Amino acid sequence: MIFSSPRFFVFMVLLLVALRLVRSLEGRLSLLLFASCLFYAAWDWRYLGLLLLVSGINWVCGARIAAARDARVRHAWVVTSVVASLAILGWFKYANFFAGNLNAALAVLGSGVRVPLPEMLLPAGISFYVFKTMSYTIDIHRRGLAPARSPMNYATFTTFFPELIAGPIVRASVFLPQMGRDIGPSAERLRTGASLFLIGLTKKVLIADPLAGIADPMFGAPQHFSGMSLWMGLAAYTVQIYCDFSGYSDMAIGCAKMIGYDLPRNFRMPYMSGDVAEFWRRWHITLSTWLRDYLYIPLGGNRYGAARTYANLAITMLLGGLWHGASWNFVAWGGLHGAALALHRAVRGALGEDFRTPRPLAITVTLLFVMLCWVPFRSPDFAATREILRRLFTLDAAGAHFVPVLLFPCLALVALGHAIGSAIDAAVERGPDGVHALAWLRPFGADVVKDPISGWIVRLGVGTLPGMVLVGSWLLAIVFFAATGASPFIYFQF
Amino acid sequence: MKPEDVARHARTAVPLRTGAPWQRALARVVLAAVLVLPLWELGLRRLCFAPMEVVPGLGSILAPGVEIRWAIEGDGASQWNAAGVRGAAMPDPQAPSVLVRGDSFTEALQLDDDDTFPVVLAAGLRAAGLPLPVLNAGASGQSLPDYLERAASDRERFRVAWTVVQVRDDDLERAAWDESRTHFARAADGSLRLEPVAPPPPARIGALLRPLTNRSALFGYGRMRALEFARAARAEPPLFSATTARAAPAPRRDYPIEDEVSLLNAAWQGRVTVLYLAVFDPERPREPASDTERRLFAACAAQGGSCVNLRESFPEFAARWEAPYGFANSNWNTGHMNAAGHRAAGALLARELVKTLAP
Repeated sequence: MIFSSPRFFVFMVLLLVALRLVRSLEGRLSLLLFASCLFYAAWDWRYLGLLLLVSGINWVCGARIAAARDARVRHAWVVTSVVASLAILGWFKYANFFAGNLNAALAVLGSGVRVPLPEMLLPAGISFYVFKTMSYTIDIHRRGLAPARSPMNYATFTTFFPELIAGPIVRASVFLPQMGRDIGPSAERLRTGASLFLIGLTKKVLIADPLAGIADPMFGAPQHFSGMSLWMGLAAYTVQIYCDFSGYSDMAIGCAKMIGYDLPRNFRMPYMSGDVAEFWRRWHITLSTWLRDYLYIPLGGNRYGAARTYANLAITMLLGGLWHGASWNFVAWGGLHGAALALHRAVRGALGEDFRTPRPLAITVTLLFVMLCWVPFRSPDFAATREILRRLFTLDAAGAHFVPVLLFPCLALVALGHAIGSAIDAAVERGPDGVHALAWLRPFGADVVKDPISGWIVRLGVGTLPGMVLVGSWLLAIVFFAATGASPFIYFQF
Repeated sequence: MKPEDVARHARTAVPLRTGAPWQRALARVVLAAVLVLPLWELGLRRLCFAPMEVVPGLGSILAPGVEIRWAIEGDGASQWNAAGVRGAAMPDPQAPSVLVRGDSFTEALQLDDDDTFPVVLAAGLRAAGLPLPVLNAGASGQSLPDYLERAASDRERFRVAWTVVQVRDDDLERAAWDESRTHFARAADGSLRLEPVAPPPPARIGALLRPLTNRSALFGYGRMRALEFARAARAEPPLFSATTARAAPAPRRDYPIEDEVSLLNAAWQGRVTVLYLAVFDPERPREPASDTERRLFAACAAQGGSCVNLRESFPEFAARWEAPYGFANSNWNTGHMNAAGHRAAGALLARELVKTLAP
């Protein structure tokens, strides 16, 4: 049941109506927990047990850590939590990968021994919910979080369906403090949530899905396309992955808003980044901050000299790449970003903080680098990666000169979205005066609200004639031009 | 004016916003609809306008005398007449003609008239001294059994000198044996026969809305989209399933291609050419892509039938890194035949028909 499918709309409407009808908070939480389990089981009911097992392990560990007075006991329980969580993630996500690589190595060594490859599906959202539940116990261990007051609160947090499958990765320290608030739909929540949901849905069904039709054949058979066509295919994928993933995040945050919870922002106009470090402050923010807080800093961060900092960056990004999937291509993608982060740090250190590259040039270079890194990320294997890069760099004329006209309006839409988002970002950062400067949105029935967790949110409205025209046309555009087959989100496979 | 006068005036002044909130909201909705819908109607009329009409004996055909627009994939304008044939003018029933039957690939709404293969074929025949009109009776969603079912009535309606039947793999396989529509079946003696199935009566709601959907691109395209959404919803995987890691592929059914070719030749007394639209792979332009393709041409050769394979043009396409399918606003080598594909198909057919029809 994916967010852009008609089934989900029915599910969401029924849930909101039911939340409205139930009077007590306990009743609403029970209903939400039931709905979340139903949502997850709708994909494959057997893996609901795995979700509850991971949640249960971390609940027990969290309680033991909080109850223990001895630091060694606390440490033992947090290690238990981390090892158990990573073992489950490793078995379901990486067992085939490591067994396959082991078999390849054994074959090279001339050994006839073969490790059997386990046949299993990757449980949906496992990378996300394992990280989420791990952060719960680690935060308790660090004394940065009190354990959840009740199993109900904890289970609602771990199974919360909007962000269960593909993030944002919500930490317990963000979610649990909200558990006391009254949930259920209100006019204000519905308006804010529906606005975000509509923006996310637009990114997914009007931009990402149609662009998949351009990018997929090019990455599937790059030998059929000329270098120039592959550049366009790469641009299509660059926009597709952003709109697919940030669209999902917007929809998840929007659904949570409609229910009554705030989720953290996951994207902030990432293709406007002036360097690769800034890119990671704008792209998949909840993952990059998770890796920073639970991997990079514990590894030593930048506290032990330049060489160790570069090594820590490389390790963090390599593992970040591996988190995306069991493939050397993802490791290579992470490695490239890690190397770029280290290089950027070294260059910045050499040139000094005051050195500034002209912003348009910095954005262009960063975007080009990010685009080229999507090549190993999207390619099925290294052979395809090599072939695509060769054709891109040599502008190989052999192959079809296909100019997908659909790409250009999609590029324009994303560029417009980035420009509007950056303008709002700048205005909000200026404080109340800046927000006041956004009054031009009001005739369109829209406004910007600040949110301590979700950042700022553009709320659409139909209170004015231009607003009604805008929202009406927007909905008609989705009805008329959306891709109809509800295609899964890219990050579902991670 | 004294302050108390100002206050009194403020109390008695007529507010700028009149009416209850719901009345104002309704006024906004109406005004927005008045502003937005005509613009959408204009835009969609340029993008996709293909009203259908039900004609007794012909079934559902593109509305005669209306300019059909299709720019979702490709960009084409066409007119269709009351005989269900592409072109504004009714064909002369007494003039000997070449009739082309096929599905949406022959219908070719994605292209203007001059770019379609029947027009290219007509030009090729004319150039060879055979000025036969070529009637394009392509209709989206039809398949080989539909063409066979219409063979007799085609001969009554037109003076058909020759028939061209355009097929793809599916027309010889799944679609030809789909029991929900006219399909092939085995007779008791084991021979192949046609099993006619009357099309379901048009849905009442569809019939009621037809005047609206036929006049408005907004409603016509909206209806088409609603059907697409419904189809996509039906195709969604079942909920609460226990999916297996790797589902075994369904066993491939063995279709009697040879018998189908034989039935086809019999239906038109051998006066038929099969145009086969092969799958294009630029790396293997000469290699048949399916067993069905191999069997079709083997049967054709064995039975002395006339068959044309678009594959014959594929080496040239591959040399130019061009695909016979797909458009700039859709995808490369995917979807319907583009103008280059139609040109190639028309030229191959002209060569075949000149050879066959030349006195």
